[in-house]
Amino acid sequence: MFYDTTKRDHGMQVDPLTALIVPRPIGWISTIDGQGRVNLAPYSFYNAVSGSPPMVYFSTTGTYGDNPTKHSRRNAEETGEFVVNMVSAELAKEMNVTTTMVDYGVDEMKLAGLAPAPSRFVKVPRVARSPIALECKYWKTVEMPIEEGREKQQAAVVFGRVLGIHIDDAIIKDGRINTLAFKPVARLGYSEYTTTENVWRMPRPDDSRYS
Amino acid sequence: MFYDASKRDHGLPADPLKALIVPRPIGWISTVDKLGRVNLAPYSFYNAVGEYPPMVYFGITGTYGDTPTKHSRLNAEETGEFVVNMVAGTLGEKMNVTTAMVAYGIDEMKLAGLTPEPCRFVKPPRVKESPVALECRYWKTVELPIETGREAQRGSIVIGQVVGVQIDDAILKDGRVDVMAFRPVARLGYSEYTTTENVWRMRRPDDPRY
Repeated sequence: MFYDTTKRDHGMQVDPLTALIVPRPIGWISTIDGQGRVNLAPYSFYNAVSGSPPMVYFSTTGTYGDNPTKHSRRNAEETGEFVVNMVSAELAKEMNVTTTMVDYGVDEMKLAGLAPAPSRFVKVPRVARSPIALECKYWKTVEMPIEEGREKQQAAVVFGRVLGIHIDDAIIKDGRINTLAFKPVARLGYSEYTTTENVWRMPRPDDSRYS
Repeated sequence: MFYDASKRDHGLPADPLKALIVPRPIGWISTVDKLGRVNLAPYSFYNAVGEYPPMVYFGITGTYGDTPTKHSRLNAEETGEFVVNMVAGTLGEKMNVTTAMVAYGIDEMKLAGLTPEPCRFVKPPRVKESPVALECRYWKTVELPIETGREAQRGSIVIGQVVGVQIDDAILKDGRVDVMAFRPVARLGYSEYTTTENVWRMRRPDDPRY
């Protein structure tokens, strides 16, 4: 089948778009506001954008239903910092608790029963139980185009530079990160998730340096 | 352990960064150059960046080793169009063939033995064997910061608006996309990949259907 995204004439009950860009990694973003209050929320419009220097992005949509969803963006812009925490399989339920729409200033880390751990280069705490945390310095925000009739859903991409990296020693094996030791949760379409449970190697055909 | 990303003092034999942002979806980008010659290359710095309108990005690094890697970006900028093809589980090895560094103008789709199929709204062909193709209009390029001493590896991201969507009817089930029907390949660290082999549902706690 084929559909025109401006008409969304796919004939399905639910828009399939996010089910077509999969699996999406989850950036579980912790920030603090101007008063030091913690915010924690997961974003699946998240990924690396550069290796040198290490840069990541997360993208926010203006509103979800009637609720503004810009707390992470606002905090990153106001304080210049954010932390990306890894959602390992054992943290899936806690991550889901932090998707709840709560008022600005409510600490979702506490709400999910998660302990904060201090970061080294930024003021924002990381999730102590997360096996990986990327301490980031806010770089800039790029506003995405507006869709007519959906002005409130305008998206914005928040970029940050990774300054410091925490890795739980338990997920390092023979000098390499062992994905199967933490089984990252990733996002699919609808309300679906997946967990990484298989790993295979495939070196580039033209590169003997890769292992 | 903790390390300073600018000093890269991790003490590990290979830089772990890409193994820490996982699993990354793969955007298998087809473009044409001004002469109409096809290019096909996979990018794991790829994802959605907006839904209204649907927007995607792919991120490229200036050089890989000594080879410039900007063909997809160049073509998207010059022609204003690109297509994102889905790497289904059965297409992993063919995708890997298209990672080979070849001269500008060489058709990796042909090199991998894949079949070009015309798109509806854009000129680049899609990969016929792919179960999903997103036809995109180039929107803009964002140049990322330069790291001192690594100027040649400067990254940039190419952002496009999805204008048309092709979905193989075989992966639709009860009006939904069935991810287990195509098992997307995703990128991990090093030379590692994964395939999606399990699906579970978890509604938001504030969703009335939760």
